[in-house]
Amino acid sequence: MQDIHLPGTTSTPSIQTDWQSGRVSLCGDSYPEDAFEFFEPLLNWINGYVAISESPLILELSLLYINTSSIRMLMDLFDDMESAHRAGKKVSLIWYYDAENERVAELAEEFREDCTFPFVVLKRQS
Amino acid sequence: MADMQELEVDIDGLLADPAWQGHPLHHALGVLMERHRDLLRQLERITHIADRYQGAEHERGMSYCQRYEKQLHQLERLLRISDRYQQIMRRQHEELRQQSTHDPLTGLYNRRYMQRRLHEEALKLGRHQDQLFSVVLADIDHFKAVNDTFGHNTGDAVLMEVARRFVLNIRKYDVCGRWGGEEFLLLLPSTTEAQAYRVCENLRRVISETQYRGTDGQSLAVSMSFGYGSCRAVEDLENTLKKADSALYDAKRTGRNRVSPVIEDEVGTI
Repeated sequence: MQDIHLPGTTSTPSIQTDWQSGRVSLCGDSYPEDAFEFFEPLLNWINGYVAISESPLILELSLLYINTSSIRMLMDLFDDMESAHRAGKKVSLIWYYDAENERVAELAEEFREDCTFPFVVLKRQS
Repeated sequence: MADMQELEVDIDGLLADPAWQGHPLHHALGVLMERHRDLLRQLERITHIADRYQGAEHERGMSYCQRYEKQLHQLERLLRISDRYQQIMRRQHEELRQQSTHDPLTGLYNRRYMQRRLHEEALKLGRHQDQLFSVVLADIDHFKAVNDTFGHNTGDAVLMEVARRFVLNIRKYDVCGRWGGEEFLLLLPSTTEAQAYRVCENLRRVISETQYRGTDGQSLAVSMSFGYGSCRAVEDLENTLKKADSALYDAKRTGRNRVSPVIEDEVGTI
């Protein structure tokens, strides 16, 4: 499957995927006009990866502000990862936040609520 | 049900008994028994089919219910997370607004805010032409010497204390801002020249009577010079600010720690 290399804009995060290492990273703010359209390729890539690859999937997030429809898409993405985890796949998530945005950590915790796969919220060392 | 089974066994027994073969009722009873068994089989089939339908409907209902519960849960979480994001944005907005309108050191309004406020007050002046509006420019005397002698931290401490005294000693509808380094601007709505003079003279006295503490604990005294002006019309506001500025310059030139212009007949009453 083709990797995604999407540069970030003021309203959308950058998206990088690497099939070889199983790493996916999202970085920035997320206010796309159409969140479904924006996130669909990523969800497809991740579902494709967990279906085909035997290697673990690591999702790294450095997201700051997220609009409501992006929250919805992330919840769907985490649901997909949860299903993969329950099916025995190795999936994990690291959510990075900056020291000056401690409140983002509280939000990441909210997202974590329904996830039983490894989900770490980490303060980024500056 | 048990009675029925007993009756069937009895009838089968009678039908099989050779003693009743050829009896006129034997044939009719045999046919009736067969019809009865057919109907019973049909009834059982219908019951079985009805049970399966009911079971399927029940399962369908349960899956709808589960899906509904799941979506409700997701919606609740979505709302909660979204609300928290909005709270963060709102707090961030408040902080930025505070930063854009306030001086971080003294907590007073900054120059940008005071300029906007001056403009707003000018618009109000247009509506209430019978009222006088006064502006005051005040400057700490020899502030450079304070910084040079005691250091900038002490200079900052003096600025903070002066700001605090200003806020404590102005009326609630007066507006006070930091206009420049050690210069403060006061906007006094509905205030005559005589009243503006009294406000300035009171502040001058308070500032000069205050004991200031340096960062090393040393105590020092400072004084301030004041210039003010008043106007009645919008077009004069800019001019009045210039008037207050030159009055301040005058107060500095004529010895500092004073209010300029002096209103002679007011001096005695203070």
